[in-house]
Amino acid sequence: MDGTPKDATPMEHEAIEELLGAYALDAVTPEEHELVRRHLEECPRCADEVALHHEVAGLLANTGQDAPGELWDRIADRLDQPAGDGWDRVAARLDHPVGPAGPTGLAGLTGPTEPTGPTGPTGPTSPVGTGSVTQPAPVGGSPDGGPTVVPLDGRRSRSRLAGRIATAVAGVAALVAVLLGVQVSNLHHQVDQLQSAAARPVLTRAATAAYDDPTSVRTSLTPVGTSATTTVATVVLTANGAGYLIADRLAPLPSTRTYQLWASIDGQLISMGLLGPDPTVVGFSVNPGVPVAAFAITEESAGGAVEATHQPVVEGTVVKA
Amino acid sequence: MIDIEQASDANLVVAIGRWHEPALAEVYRRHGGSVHALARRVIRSTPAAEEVTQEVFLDLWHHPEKFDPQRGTLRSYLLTRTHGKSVDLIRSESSRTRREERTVRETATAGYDLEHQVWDLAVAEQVRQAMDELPEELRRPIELAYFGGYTYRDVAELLEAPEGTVKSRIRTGLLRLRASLAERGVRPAGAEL
Repeated sequence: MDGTPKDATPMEHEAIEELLGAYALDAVTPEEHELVRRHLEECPRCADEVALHHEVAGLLANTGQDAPGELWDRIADRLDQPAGDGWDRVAARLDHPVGPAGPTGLAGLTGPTEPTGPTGPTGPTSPVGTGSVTQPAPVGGSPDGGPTVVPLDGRRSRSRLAGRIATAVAGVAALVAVLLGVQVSNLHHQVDQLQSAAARPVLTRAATAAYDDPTSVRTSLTPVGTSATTTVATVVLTANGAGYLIADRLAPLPSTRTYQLWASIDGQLISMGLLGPDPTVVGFSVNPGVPVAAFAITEESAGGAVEATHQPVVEGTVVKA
Repeated sequence: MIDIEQASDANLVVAIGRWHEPALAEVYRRHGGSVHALARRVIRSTPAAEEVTQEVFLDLWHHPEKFDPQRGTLRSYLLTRTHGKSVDLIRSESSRTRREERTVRETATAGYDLEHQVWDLAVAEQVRQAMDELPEELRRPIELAYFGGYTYRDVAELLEAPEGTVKSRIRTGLLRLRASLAERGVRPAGAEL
């Protein structure tokens, strides 16, 4: 047994093997990346080779520079903030503007021009290596100008919500349990993930309240490109700008992929943040009064996209009462 | 309670799973410099590189389960994430902007200045020598792909070589580099304590 997948022909295997070096250096096209990624799931030999290429690349990247202390302060300041709220700002900090939009399922919309928010406070320098245990904190966040959106951290919230939300959260717990069963021998931190999952009362409770609030606007997201009208996810937007995505029928993605939520605001697609590969309840916020015309969800690579690169998986037009 | 400074990278990730901030701070102390430097080298924008660095460590904070110690070192994982995010970022620019910058980045990535960036003098020197010993036709595609953020197809265009040849040379170059480093007794940087 040489570790090659049973269902790959020698020719296919050889062709993919030739891509492994470029794949490890992120030097392949998205289509080739997906091809290789799927192959690696089935081929331990090629997966080992890619891991070795990554180690060699890590040596090339070795610079010996000290980690900037002030940068740690900024990271520490954001630890209690929601996950995934900073990626879109990266593009805004480039010297050059982001290019035109890729194709989207919302006809007539151009690519997003992300608002540039402040990086965050730079507190006094604190010595690296000190600090205190961080407890799960209530999630929250407020816009900092324009249609800035601040996704909330669904990972730190877990509780109950009648119907779909409860089902979705239970699904996450079951998935974590399965992962624990498979890899308990070598990944203690997954146990810790399960422990963390038990302390998630805030977000889902907030989503419940928003869902029941008569002043909230609910938008059903349905599949794009099919005749199906089944609601796959629901976006609840409160009058004060707090938004919640309740996703219960989105098919789980591999860990290298993520769902990303977008809003159509003033004719532009604005990222609401990354939802992860298997979202359940995710929060975000929009400046109150910002006219959101529609929501859409795309599937992107794990790091997310500055602008939508794929047709939306689901979308829905906001209909206010 | 673990001794943070003596803990292995894997144990630090376990502690991060328990929301132990000092563990993340220690990971940052060990690997933050390389993460930041790699992002800056690929993106060529210090503010954007700082944002990518923050994203990499915040991602580890929120999703430590993504790190699989059986698939490599934590350092390799962080740098792989850093490179992927950096490349995604520079490729998100319009093709027009990219073309305009191409010449600049092509020139800028030509250098190989590890000797000025000391993490471990001995290892850095070994890596530099191993790179120098690689034939240029193997070294150049690796440099352009890794530090320039180009796809192998871009590299083929830049070097006016067939795509298949470039693809093959990147892989061959990495394999040969690894063999050369192994002969020199160089283990992956940031290996577990």
